[in-house]
Amino acid sequence: MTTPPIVFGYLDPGTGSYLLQLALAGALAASYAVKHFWARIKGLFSRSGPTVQNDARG
Amino acid sequence: MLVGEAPPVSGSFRDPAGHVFRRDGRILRQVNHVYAADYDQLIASGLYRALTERSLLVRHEEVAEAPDREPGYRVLVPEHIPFISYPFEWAFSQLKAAARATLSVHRIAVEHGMVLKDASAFNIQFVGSSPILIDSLSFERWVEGTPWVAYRQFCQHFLGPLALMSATDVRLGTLSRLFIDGPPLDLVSTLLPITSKFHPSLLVHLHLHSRAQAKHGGAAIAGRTPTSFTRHAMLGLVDHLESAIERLAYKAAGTTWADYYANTNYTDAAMAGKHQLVAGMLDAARPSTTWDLGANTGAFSRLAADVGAYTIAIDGDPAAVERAVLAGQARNERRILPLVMDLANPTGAMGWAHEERSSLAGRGPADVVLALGLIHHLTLSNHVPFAMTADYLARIGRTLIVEFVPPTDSQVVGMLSRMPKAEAGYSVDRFEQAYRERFRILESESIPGTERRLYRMESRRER
Repeated sequence: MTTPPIVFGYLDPGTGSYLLQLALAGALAASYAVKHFWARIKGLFSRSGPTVQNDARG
Repeated sequence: MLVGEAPPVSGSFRDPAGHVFRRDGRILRQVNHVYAADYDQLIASGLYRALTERSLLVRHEEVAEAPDREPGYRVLVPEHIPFISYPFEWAFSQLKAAARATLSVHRIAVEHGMVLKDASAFNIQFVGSSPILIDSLSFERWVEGTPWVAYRQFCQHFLGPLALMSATDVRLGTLSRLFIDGPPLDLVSTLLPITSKFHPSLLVHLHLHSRAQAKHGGAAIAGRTPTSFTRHAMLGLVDHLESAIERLAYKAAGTTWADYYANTNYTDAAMAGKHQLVAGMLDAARPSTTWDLGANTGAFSRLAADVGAYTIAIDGDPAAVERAVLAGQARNERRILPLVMDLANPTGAMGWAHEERSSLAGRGPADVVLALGLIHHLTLSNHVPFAMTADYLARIGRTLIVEFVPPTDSQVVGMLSRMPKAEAGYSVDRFEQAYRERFRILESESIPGTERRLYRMESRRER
């Protein structure tokens, strides 16, 4: 499978802004996973269920 | 542009996806063919429904009308927004609410396979205290792996100004009036105190962001293949920006005007009498729109809203307006929109060819203008003659409810003691003479227990 190249719309995302997000990608994904992992664990012990919406798509 | 075509409305000309135009007194939005697949995805994915049900996106109706210009794909009639305001006119908590709404919209878009492609603060409007996205064409299908295209714009329009207002000085919110795409991040970084670098989200999204921009400048990125910016990274970015916004605070206190009603020289009985008189005059005018100029925390705006008017409560003091905003948010206010504006220098027409953003006068006229405890400040502190305040007020409102504070009033006596030469010509006779030229005086009453007078007048200006 080939991946299509990135095509942007009319707004300039800014090269620095774009590269900064890439540099942060791993940390952001990890913090998201940890936050939602704990929300699920907490959900197991509370009657009301998870407080944060489950992310089924992974 | 073809001959006979009207220019797009209020700054909507930048986006090739479509534009806003006027037809037969209505505001319509055209969707262009180039945007067809994204528009269809907005509807088919359930994103439009999810956002409109939460009142985060303006509702629209598709109509079978000819487009404004070819190649048109759809013509939409969006829900009416009673008053268009701009980010530099918002108090801290309004900008914060608009930032929250923008991030919520983006998160829900990601959950539907799309992203917010445009995070301009000008795309958010307020109906009372509730922020809503008014640009239905702000979405595009997301190619997973690509970073958020509007990240830079979000930081410039929201995070930077909020951080400056919170950590440096609340008056820096007006920087967005100078920089139409938000204050540049290198300027934000320079103006923030050094302590902001110990705040991890401000360090990353403002200081390091500014350095990354300086380092990489305009190097090309288009044409690269999608990278590792996963869905979790995108949602993690939204969470991180949200927590950055939530941690920013501003405490409205300490200014002269925010504490005005606690320190006023009105007795309780005189204030009650003034309320009764203003309410009676509003009742006689029956406005559907009111601009309360010099509204302070909005005590008299409430009276206008209570007779059914959508009321804009304008004041130059960001702390007083912040208090009005917080009170409105607490009661989910629908009819009063408080705004920060220096009335001696009201918002002018701005942007490309002076046509992107309207002046205050360009957004009128209001059915009623309330000018209570205002004229003596404009006349004595700002040195604007009666004839010129009368001219402007007759232009921006059909009916004027105005208070005259005589030279013998303790507040004016205090002001004149600091600038005795300003007194020349400040009298009730001169006031009435100047105002009679621009208005027909319908009623005039003295406020019980004071030497002040209240007038209801009708503008002579033909529209």
